[in-house]
Amino acid sequence: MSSFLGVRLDVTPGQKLLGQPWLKVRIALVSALVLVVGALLAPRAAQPVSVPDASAVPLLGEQARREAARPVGGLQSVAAGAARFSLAMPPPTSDTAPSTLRDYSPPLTRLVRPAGFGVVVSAAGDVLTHESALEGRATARVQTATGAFEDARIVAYEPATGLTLLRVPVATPLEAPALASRAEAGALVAAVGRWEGRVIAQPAFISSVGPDAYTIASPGDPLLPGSPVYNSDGQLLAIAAGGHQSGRAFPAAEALARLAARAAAGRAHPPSIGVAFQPLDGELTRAFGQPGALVSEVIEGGPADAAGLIPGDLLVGINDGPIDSSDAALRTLAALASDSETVLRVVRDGRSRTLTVTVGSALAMVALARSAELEEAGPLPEARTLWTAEQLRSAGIPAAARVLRIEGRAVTSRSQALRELRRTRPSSLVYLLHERRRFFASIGEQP
Amino acid sequence: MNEILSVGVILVAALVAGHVAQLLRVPEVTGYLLVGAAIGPSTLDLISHENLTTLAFLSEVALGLILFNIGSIFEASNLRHVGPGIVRVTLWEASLAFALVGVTLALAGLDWPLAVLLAVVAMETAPATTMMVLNEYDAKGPLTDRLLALVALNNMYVLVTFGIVTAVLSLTQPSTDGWLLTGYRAGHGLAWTTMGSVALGVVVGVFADLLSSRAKEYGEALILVIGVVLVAVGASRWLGLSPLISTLALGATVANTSVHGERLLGGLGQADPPLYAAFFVLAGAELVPASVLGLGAAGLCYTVARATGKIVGARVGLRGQDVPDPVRRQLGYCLVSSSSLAVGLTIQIRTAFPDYAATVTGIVLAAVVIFEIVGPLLTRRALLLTGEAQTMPAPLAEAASGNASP
Repeated sequence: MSSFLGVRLDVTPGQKLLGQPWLKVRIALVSALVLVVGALLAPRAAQPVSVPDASAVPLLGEQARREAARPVGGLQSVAAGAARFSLAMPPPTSDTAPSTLRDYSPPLTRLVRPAGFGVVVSAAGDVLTHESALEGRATARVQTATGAFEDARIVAYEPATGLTLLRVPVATPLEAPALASRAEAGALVAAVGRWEGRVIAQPAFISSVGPDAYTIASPGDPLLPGSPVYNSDGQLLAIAAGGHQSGRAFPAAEALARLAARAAAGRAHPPSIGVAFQPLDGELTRAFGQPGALVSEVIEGGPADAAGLIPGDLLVGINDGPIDSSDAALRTLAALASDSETVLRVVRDGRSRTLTVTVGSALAMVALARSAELEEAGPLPEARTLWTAEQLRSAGIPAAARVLRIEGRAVTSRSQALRELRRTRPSSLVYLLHERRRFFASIGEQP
Repeated sequence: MNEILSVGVILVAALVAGHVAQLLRVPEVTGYLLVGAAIGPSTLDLISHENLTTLAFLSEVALGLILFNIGSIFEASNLRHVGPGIVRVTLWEASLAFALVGVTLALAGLDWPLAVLLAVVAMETAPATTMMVLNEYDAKGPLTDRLLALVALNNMYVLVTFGIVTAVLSLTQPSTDGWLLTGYRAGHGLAWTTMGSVALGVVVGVFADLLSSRAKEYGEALILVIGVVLVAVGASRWLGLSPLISTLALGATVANTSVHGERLLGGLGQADPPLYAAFFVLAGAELVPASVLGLGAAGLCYTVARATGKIVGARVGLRGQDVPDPVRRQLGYCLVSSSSLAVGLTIQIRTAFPDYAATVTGIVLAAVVIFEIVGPLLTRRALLLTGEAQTMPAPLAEAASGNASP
């Protein structure tokens, strides 16, 4: 025989098949080219959500082989570690940080950062995180404590808080952290994550305690969305919404109970038509003259947008039932089935209309809202440049709010806004944007 | 136990186990694996999970060196004897194991995708165990000539088949990404792990060839070999390639480019026994002997169908080839061992198809325990029956010399 797999083998004994220098170089160059082209053509993996718990999902990769036979836990859990971090932490006002803090808390300035964190909360592989960590995707890729990447699916989502429960496939039961009961304002906490094999703990403190959420201030970088927040006993206290130095965090124990109930009810993705409502009160009641739910935001590309709903519409009925408040509208919409055709009765410019909308899912709306946010720009005039502080106070408008529309007309500049206000006096219905929230207000002339 | 102490315990245990194995007339590998299973976390827990995790790199390095050695079998003049023949045997033994396991499990009532995935895992034969047994008995002959090349080809065939099967199955799975992206991802993954890994091995191999003329002393040659193998394994991990294929390709490239190749490969033989001993004790420590008890009917089908497929397939593949009769009968038995690649594939299956994770893990882990213990014994028996074992096991040799000079 003289060839094998297409390579000629009839070389004389003592001579090498690829012995000639030019042949070696050529083969090496072709191989290098294959590597470069292959690497360039690699499909991009989605930005992962990182699961901090050390007992998280031991799958994939070389180390995972060792993990395969492992029973529960074994490695020291981050929850226990968190206790040490937070006890070693100085009060947030202190100027001198002890060296332990530097060791454990590297600045989050790496170029590649996770989209957010999550925490394993059940032996079955449930991971609690926040919608912002998903960046609007309906699927998530999770990096586990072993460094492996796993595809997780969403089992429950709560639109009001953005909390999301993912399920990561696990072969062996995991250890879930102990849950903390409520904490007091002023308590020191640590937001803990894991990235590139390192535990990242960030000091923070609870600046206020609300009925449904804590406000958490972190002296360093903003917390990443979905970061688990541990108290000084190493118990899981809350899940941070992230994104701000002073942001909201939702109590984990209560959130978990609510999400578990949602998952059990089979409503992983609650229905939504992609609108936000604003309660009618004060001046607005007079401006509209009848009860209903005021549509304050319509997500571009969402079902309501497709059906022709616009901000400023007053929703007065869904299917056959009347709607007299924004609460009633939310309740009724929450009971609708996804993909069902729903008839909305709205009042626009004093005339009644009927629109038909196909109900979508809340998580899809998050994605749409996020993409709309990116496009939002333009030199909108600030409310404080158009009205006095007293006017703003009585109308309930924040001074920094930007004016989007006046009586249905889009605002492009301060001078054009002033013209519109003169045209519409004595009182104007204005549409404003403040901290990513849009809303209506009725404002009168300067007394 | 800290990691240095654990390595010490592993090496001492390996030495003792090797001697006991010789007394019991079983291959040393079996001794290493059994002592590993005994001191491992599943049994005595002298070596804990943490130790295994920290020592994982030792196993990877050892496996890299073993595959580098096996790759060197693809030297052109070697292949001239056995080339097309072993390709045929590989295709037969692996494909028959695939078909038998797949059909049996499907008939036993498993979902067809699950049966197909398990069938791919069943195709694999352990390279490291096989090479250790051949080395221990200094085996030479037509069976030995074929066996290592066969195992190397088998592993490549398995990885390619696994790539194709997972690509097709992932297209049938519901996905939010759309079939085009899923298909592209799967296709790229397959091409990348095969062609990319070979390319990496070749690049590193040519590089090693350039350096080999400078590495004159034994010590330098050893440094060069271990260095390039580590580069190949490490770069594979970094680039997401298969360390298995890249080290095989590296060995093949060095053997075919470098006139110093034999010196490089020979240098390795004197320095690596501690590493290999540690590798097999660690492999044993990862076994979960108790899992055999949970084997179940499907596991039994898997075990029997795989062994049958390998033994019969090799025999059919050798039909019409000019080999002695004992070789024809025994070659299949040498292919029964199964190990790290099977476990590696299982881990990938668990990630890609979480629904099947529990079943696949249960069956494969139990089957690996059986095949890792039985495989070397069958290989040893085959070497004795074909007369290819050059060194007699020590107690026999002692007995023989005792008889000769009373």
